[in-house]
Amino acid sequence: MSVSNLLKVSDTRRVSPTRKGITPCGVTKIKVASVGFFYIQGSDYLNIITVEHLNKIFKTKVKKEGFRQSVRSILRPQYKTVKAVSDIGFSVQKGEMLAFIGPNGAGKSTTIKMLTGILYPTSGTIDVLGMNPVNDRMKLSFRIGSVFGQKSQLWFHLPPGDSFKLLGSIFEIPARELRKRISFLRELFEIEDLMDIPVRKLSLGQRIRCEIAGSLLHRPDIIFLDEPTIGLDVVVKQKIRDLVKRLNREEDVTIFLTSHDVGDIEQLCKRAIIINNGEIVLDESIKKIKYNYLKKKVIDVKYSENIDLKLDIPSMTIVKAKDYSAKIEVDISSGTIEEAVDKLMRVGSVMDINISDQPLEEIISDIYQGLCNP
Amino acid sequence: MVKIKKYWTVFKISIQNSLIYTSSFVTGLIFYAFIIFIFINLWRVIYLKKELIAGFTYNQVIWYCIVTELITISTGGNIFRTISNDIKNGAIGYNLNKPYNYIFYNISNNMGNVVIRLFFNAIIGIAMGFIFVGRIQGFDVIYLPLMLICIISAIFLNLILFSAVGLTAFWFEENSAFFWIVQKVMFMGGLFFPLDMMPGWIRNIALVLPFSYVTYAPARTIVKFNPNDFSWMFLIQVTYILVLLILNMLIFRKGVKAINVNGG
Ligand SMILES: Nc1ncnc2c1ncn2[C@@H]1O[C@H](COP(=O)(O)OP(=O)(O)OP(=O)(O)O)[C@@H](O)[C@H]1O
Ligand SMILES: [Mg+2]
Repeated sequence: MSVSNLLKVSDTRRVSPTRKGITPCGVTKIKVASVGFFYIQGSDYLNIITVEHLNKIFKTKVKKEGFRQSVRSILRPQYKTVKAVSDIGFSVQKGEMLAFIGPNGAGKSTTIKMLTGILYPTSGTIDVLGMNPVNDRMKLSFRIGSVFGQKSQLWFHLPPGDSFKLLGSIFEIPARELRKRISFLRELFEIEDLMDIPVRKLSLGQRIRCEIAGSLLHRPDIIFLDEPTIGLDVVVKQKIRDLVKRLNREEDVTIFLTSHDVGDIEQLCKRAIIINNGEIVLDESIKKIKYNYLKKKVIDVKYSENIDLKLDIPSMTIVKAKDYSAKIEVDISSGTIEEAVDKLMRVGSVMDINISDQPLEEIISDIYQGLCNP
Repeated sequence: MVKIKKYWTVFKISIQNSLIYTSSFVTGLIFYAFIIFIFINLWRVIYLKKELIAGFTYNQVIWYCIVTELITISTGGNIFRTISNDIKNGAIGYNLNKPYNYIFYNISNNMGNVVIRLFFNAIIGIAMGFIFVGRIQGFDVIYLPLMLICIISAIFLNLILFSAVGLTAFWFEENSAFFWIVQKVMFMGGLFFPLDMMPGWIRNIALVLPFSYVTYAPARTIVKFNPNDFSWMFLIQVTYILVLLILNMLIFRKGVKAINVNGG
């Protein structure tokens, strides 16, 4: 293994020095002075999820209106097929926080369901922690966790406290360890006061916190989060992001995240896979996405006098202009920042100027719409 | 051991849970008392002219009905509905990524409710029996535990039967028709009166089907108790339980491959 290879590996594979422990086979744990521990890859073990040529085709019976049609559909049922996932392939490394994103109906949830053994693939191979979710569903379930923002996995009538006890024995966690784990997660997720209230009486934000805590009882290696922040307020969203980040850092949990909130992705993930119509359209680090797909810069400018802004350069568009200040977008594929700044300086006396990247949200939405070509 | 313990925990928590939602077993209780009351009056009229019908006295027939109704009303049809709904709305998928056996899970989850209903129904049933016809003829308290075993295994068999019917939802959207049919077959299998009162050929057919081991066989064993009959009946019950469990697993395994988990 070459030095550059080593550095590359160690760069992304840092493991918190506080987590003493098990070194996976084929992996050497070394200590680098002043930096911490690194795992060095000795095999491809660290790819804990590998997916190849995965397909999922849904076949649904078409129901037609009217008596005659429904009799016919019994005799000769007609099927409509939907290709939800189409020949996708990717891999995820241990300790990674991956964003799996795409527009509505892209096939994200379907993929997660196949990875967690909830749904059978039509074809293709899946390897999660060295197991096949179809054949080793039960064995795999001990080592992964999942949270579906739109589907509660806690017992609706039971308070979270009971649900946790139930999950604890379902996951065969020894009583003492379970107690410790519950009290740890209870504090971490700030759900102490909710433990005795039936889940159906909890607010969405309260419930989601309990759901995530519940999915972590058995110390999974990977946790699949399907839109965990859907419908939550800004504060709770932020809290959940912080917790996820902390879990990843402290317990080295691999995070597989889908979300429509770019904030989640930007704050948590280093890499994003974008899926559209069941196909992967992009698999890149967020940094690279920003770099490659960034077409616009945003300039905020403040003048010391009231100006009437008129621009005759085609690459510049005014987003907002009011009294003393203006927000301008510059298309850097057809113009330059220099030209734009120069122009703005000449309009009036500039008090403050700030140049920033186009928000990731817009970049992603452009990619969704197929507007971006690198 | 931990593998079994998890179902025990599910059972314990489901007991707690059903104690909170009392309304479901209170209505069941009223229904049970009402049915027994009707039987007591109906059979009294029938027995006005005769001492013995097909080998059963009035006392025995009443206790027979108390037992059959106790078993079927305490079991209820919840397990069928839960499983059918889980399959139809796709919730079953979220049971697949947990390390438990879905069938065992549902049985233990139902058992809590069933045991609570059984307990309260039994109090009412026994009380009514004592008041209207006196204790079971030839009753020996030594056999009480064995009688309890008859009832518990009958309930198990009933739950497993209904869960198999529920699993047909994998292929049939409207599977409540099957449930209805099975229920009616159980009525014929000796819910209202002992199979001994039926023509011989019907009785013979019924005796090889599992349904009669939910109602007829255990109830008859209890009102005409002798250890030999009990052993035979129990053996057949256990055999049917095992056979139907295996059938459940097979159906489940086949069905899971066909499921579409909706939405999200
Ligand atoms: N059980 C099902 N039966 C038939 N088609 C389905 C089923 N589940 C999903 N689909 C279809 O598969 C496609 C992908 O759905 P999926 O739920 O994976 O999308 P998604 O990326 O999670 O979208 P969203 O962001 O809206 O949650 C959609 O076209 C959907 O209609
Ligand atoms: Mg989804």
